[in-house]
Amino acid sequence: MEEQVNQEHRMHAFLRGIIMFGFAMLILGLVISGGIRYYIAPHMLPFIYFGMITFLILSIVQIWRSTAKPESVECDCGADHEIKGSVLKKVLIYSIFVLPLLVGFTIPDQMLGSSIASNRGIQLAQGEMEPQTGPVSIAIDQDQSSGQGDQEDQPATDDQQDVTQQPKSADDYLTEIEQIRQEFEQEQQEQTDESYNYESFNDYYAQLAAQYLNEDTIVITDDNFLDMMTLFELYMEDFVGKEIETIGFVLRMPEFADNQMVAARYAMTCCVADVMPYGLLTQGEMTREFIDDTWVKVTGTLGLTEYPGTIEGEHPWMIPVIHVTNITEVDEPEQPYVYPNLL
Amino acid sequence: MIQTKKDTHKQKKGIEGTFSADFIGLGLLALFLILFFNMEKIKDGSYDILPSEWIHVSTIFLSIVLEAVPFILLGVFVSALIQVYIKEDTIQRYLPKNAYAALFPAAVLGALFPVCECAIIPVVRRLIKKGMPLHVGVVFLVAAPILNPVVFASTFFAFRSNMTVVYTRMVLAFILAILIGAILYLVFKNSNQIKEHHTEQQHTHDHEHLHDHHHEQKPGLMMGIRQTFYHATDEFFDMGKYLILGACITAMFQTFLDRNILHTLGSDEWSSTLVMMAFAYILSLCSEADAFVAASFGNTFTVGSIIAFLVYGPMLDLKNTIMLFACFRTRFVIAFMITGTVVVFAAVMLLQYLL
Repeated sequence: MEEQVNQEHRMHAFLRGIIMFGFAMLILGLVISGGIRYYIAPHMLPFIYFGMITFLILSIVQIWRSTAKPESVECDCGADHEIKGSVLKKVLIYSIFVLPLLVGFTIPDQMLGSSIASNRGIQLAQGEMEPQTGPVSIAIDQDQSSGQGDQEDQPATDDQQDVTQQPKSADDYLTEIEQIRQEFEQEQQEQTDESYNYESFNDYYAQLAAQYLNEDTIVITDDNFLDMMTLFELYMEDFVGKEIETIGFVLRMPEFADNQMVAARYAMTCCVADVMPYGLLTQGEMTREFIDDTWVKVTGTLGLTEYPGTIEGEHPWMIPVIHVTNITEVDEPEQPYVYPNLL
Repeated sequence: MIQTKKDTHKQKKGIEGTFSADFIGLGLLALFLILFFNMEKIKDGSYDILPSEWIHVSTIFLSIVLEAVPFILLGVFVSALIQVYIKEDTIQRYLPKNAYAALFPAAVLGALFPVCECAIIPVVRRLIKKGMPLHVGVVFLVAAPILNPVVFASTFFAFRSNMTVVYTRMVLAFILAILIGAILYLVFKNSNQIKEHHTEQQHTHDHEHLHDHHHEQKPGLMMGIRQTFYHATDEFFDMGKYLILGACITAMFQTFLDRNILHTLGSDEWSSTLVMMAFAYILSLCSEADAFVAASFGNTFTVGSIIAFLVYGPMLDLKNTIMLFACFRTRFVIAFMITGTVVVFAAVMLLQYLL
């Protein structure tokens, strides 16, 4: 009887050792191939390394335990770890542990597709602003005067294209931008006292906004993507008229118009379970040429538009929109996900 | 005569079983090695074969498992260290005599334990086995995953423009942990609610076994380390299977649940609070990451329902419910879930009324 119990212990120790070794191998494989970036955010990696090393040590200890002398095989904590029941039950329980290993070794490492994004809903930098406040309504006027609103989009894009398709008149272009900026600075000054409550904003973003507002063309990169989304959210009106360059995968939500899309990025905090798609609404005839999930580089001018929202009866939101001047197909970036900088 | 015959038969079967188990073990080892060295080839090949929905479910499933496993390991190691090095009388000595007086320090201690909801369950189970009162364990279960610096930081960054959410989450978690602990103390007092797997016979055997150890002052260094490692592995396999099952179900919901439904269901304060709580339960996010997901609902959900999401999710979710059922008696888990749900809902509704 005693002998049989020991055999059982050895068997379990051996199998557990092998499975833990499998976990260590899987994590090592994913780390070596770089595939781990499709599952875990970089700032969580130390925990993953800890897990890998712990699994390796434990597996060695377990396999050694399975060959050790009978009296040292048991742990003294009250025999509540044994798997009781039939052989079938034991096989089932160990299969549960083998399942993630098989999945991990075989499924392709890739980013979640746009179908997940439409289930989760996209963040279009809509902010927490009430739609009826002062600066926004003025900004609508601005958007309409420069782009003639949303319903008639064709003229809007033409306008924008006119600006960029004449590279020789760069001076004109600059003066135009300068004009727009001056207009906005004036507007800003008129409204500073009431509409802008800079005190409540985080200093970090106020400084960042000041820095980017000095630039005429804002290049959105992997590193500043989420910061820029927050800035557009907080200081949407200030950025109107800026040239924007961004990359992302093409994503369309059911409520979008035919000539609208988003060059979206997934933001990951810890793991794939918490990814959320973010991006700026992109509007123009060129968007029609690109199918969902294609990686593209979008350039255009930032404006504001009214977003109908996904629910009936909901207030329409003011959101930033890129009026497209150019879209080109690009390769998927090395790091397809973006991560919050502040963690 | 018949008895001995039966015994030898059993023994023989047992040894045969071990041989086949060794065989399975070696087979698995070979399989893992083959998969490891051909990983990239297999992954390239499977790209065209597998349907994309299946890849999505698998990716989310694997991601949750990989993410949670280090924390489960941390949890089982802490549990193993408690098992090997902390004596029952140590816990008894530091506990206040009055059951209610223990609630407040328990919540403070919970705040000092920087562990998430995956890691806290094995730790709490072990502490209760070592003689810590049940209701104090409950306070740990509720407080520890929310009240910790990392969760505070991530909530702060996700809701920097709305600090009410950040402070309310923390304060509410602290108060509700004590409240839930007190209610469960009224219901269960100090009865044993840990699920016991072993039979009566083994129990006495173990008791003697433990008793022996108590006479030796402390386990030797090597002995202690070995015991800790053995124990950690055994508990990992004990908890791990429930985690993996939970991750599996969660991955399905994560892939196929259209979140727009939430907006349709949660139209007023009552329903939106309930919907966000149900949503937090199903998503089973880490308490570290849930603030960012909650922030994405900021436009369409009331502040109250967002707070309900942030307070309820780390306390109770699909992933840890399965683990709770494995560790505690069914009656207790159901009472814990009902109490937690009602208390969070009532508190959030009251808060919305006051604000």
